[in-house]
Amino acid sequence: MSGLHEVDVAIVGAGPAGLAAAIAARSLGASVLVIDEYSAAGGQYHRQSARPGPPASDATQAERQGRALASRAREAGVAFWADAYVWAAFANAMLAVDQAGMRRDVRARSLVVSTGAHDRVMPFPGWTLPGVMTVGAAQALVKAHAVVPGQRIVVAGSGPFLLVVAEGLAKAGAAVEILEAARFRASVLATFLRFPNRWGELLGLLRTLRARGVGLTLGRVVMRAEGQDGLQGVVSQAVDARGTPIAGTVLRHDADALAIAYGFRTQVDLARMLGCRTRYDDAAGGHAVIVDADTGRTSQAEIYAAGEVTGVGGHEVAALEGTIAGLSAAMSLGYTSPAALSRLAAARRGRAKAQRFADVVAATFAPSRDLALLPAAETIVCRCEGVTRDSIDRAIAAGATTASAVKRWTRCGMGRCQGRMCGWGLARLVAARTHSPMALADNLTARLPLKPVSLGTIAGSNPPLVK
Amino acid sequence: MTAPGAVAPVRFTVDGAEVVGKAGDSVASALLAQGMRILRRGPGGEPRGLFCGIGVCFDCLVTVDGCADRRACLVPIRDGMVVERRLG
Amino acid sequence: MSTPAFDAVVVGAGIVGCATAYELARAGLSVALLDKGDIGGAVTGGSLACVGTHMISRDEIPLLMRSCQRWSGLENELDFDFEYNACGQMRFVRAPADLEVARGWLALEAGFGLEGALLDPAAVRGIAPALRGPVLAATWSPRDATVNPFLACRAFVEAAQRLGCRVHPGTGVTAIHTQAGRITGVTAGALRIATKYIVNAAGPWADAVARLAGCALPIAPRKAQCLATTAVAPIIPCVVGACESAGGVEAGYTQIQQAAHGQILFNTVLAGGVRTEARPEDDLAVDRQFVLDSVETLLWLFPDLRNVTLLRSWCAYEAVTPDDHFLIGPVDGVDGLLVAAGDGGTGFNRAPMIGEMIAQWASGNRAVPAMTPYLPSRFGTEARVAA
Repeated sequence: MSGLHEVDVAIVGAGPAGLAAAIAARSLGASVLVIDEYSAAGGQYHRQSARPGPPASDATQAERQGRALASRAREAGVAFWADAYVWAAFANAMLAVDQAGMRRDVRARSLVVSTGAHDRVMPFPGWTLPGVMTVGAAQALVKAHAVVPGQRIVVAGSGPFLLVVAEGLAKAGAAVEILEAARFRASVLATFLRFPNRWGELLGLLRTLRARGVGLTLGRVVMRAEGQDGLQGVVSQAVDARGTPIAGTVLRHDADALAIAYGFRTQVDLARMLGCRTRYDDAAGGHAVIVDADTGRTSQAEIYAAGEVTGVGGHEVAALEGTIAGLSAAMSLGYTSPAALSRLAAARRGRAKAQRFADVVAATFAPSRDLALLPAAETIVCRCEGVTRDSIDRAIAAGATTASAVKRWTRCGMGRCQGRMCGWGLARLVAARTHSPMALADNLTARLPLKPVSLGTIAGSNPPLVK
Repeated sequence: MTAPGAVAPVRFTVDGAEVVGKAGDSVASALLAQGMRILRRGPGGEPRGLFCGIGVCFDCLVTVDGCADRRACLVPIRDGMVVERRLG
Repeated sequence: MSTPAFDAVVVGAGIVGCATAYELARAGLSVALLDKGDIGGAVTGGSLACVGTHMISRDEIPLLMRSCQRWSGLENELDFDFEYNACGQMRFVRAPADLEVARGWLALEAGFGLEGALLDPAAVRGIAPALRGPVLAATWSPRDATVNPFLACRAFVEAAQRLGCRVHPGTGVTAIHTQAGRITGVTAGALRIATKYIVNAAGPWADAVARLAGCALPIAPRKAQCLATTAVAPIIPCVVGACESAGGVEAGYTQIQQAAHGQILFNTVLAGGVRTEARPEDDLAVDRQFVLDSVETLLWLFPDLRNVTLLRSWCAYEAVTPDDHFLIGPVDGVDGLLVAAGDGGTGFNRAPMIGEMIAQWASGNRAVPAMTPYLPSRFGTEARVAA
């Protein structure tokens, strides 16, 4: 145990928002500590290659940017704790950190929560088979480890992220096919035309995919994954706008890997534990921390939030929110610079503009109603505890009308992932069965520990784990 | 010595058998590169593998050097590391 | 649309409300069960659900014995596996002064014919080999049991539903209707029900519910917290608690047990520890000192658990009365208003008996001797003064 670490601004999460916040707060003179669960800063978007040595010549722009941001922050004097996660937050921004098995306590005068989001998944038959993974997992394998998860890969679910990851997998040599659940209507196309600065990016991506032979089908959902000890094939079906499967459209795809996600789910547990008020927006990742757009301030004094936790909006919005929150947090502590206000104003303008596009993207890929009906009666919904859909249905029939109530009666969401993987599917199932809004159904609470932590670590008596 | 540009091999064991990975691999990525997709068995005995890849789902738990329940997607491989899967 | 009518409405679907709804339905009454949140979602869900006779209440041992007897047959009666486990209970002694307290309890309980023993450290390890901490001694009550609090609640609710009870979770009572001093109905949001009996089983909210009928109840909320580890192989074979020390609950307590799925549930509150007077919905955070004290105590007793991981924590509010005894029975001044609240954190120990008493009363038997010590009127006018 290394005593209490005190700092002006603590930032939890070193993705685009966290890095921007760190650079901004430090530039005004505040002492800054960034705490991140992974061994390299950058989060999912700026994920770095884990290979030793300088970046490879084919490193993506996101990777190079991330590396540059992290070194800029370091050179400015930002402290980084890697392999460290905040497992609890207590009154007065007191954070309990587990760094590779060692207990560290932090007290920050201001706190920026930039804990990001993770892939959002809906349980479906066969989703526990090895070879089925989230889109983010496939991306991490390629980006960090240069390992391709399969030779024939189906990338499915919904969102622009599918295209980006499919491109990376195709470049790494896999045969890739994309099944996008959303069906685009003319109105969506018309909205997109209002953002001409985005056309180039999309067209470039589509061109690469085409050149690599990557097929892209819209309005098609993976209904089932098949295989014995691992994935061998995927069964898909076309769906209508509500997500209802259309008869006579079933297809089977040979595949040894399936990367699937329906957008992202915000990781708001730390913010909620700190008492920050949230709103519910299913299209933008579920619970979203309510912030004052001009400062990033949450409902709690001296706690700021930036990035996907305020509603999934992509890396550009995240970085601008990080700048706003970092500047505001430092300024509220009395730090300032002649350029601070103009930098704040510029970031606000940029954020508002980027947010408009993010809103269009969110609406375009909003998950359809009938996704909740994907799991079959015997499908495992809770991967940790092995809870099937029919036992959830029985609990609902007996009077469980929220995710929390089902959790108590079935153990769904009670395992190690603490409902992060099944929580959305469970809530959608409950909402569909009881005709209640997601804002009520999706009510698993945020309690310590935010991730499992060993008792010896809490007691401060564990030697650090060898990494 | 490793030639410039080449990645150093890392030798470790999985359930007693030697596996050669590359520096920078996680346990999960090194095993996947060898075609080993199963990392453990779920509550009903069904096979499980890498799922979220970013330390959130806790589905890739393996024992590393005697320490149970480590996330294979996060633990980097090291020479001489002993990895055990719960496949029983 | 006509207003649905029920003989009785139970407000609060914790273990007391669920058991009461079941007993009322079993007695032939039509029953509706309302809760503002989830069924068993408040103090019941936060409970460690020990069902026993040992070191709980000096003047309620006969009632506790009947309750334990009832619990042992309830899985069959309700046709539901709620993980009833007659694992026994041990209360460890840390300070020499508490040896006398331990002997006093054992003598008192032996007077009622209850089995029990004072174990030396070797005998403690004979029962729980992993309990290697330097305890002086421990009491042993072999017949105490645990149940899964969520599933026990569900068992009562499903059985009540089979007897016609209507269950309404997420339905908080907003008004209680009376006419000439008699209960006539209840409103819960959009739901209106006509009834002649309301059973207020709202735990820490019981006073707030009573005030809807113009009554006050001497019930205050007290924060209770708990921690749980990930599932591990069986290592804690019984309930392990701290021997009551001279200062009672206020001087601190410990309870540790391993659930059927292998998770270790544990809490320790030291003297001067958690004691919040907040409203139950205001502060649901688990306290830092509570976590550190609980982990330290667990590892002091079971040093082998150092590498086990903490997985969950929760917080609930117990309903506490001035004399630490339940309020059970009619509330003077409003005909048809009954109360069954005041768990003090040990509601599971009495819930089936409370259900029986309320059902007897509501079936027309106005002299229920078992109810006498629990009547709200024992607090005199204080309990009855209209707010």
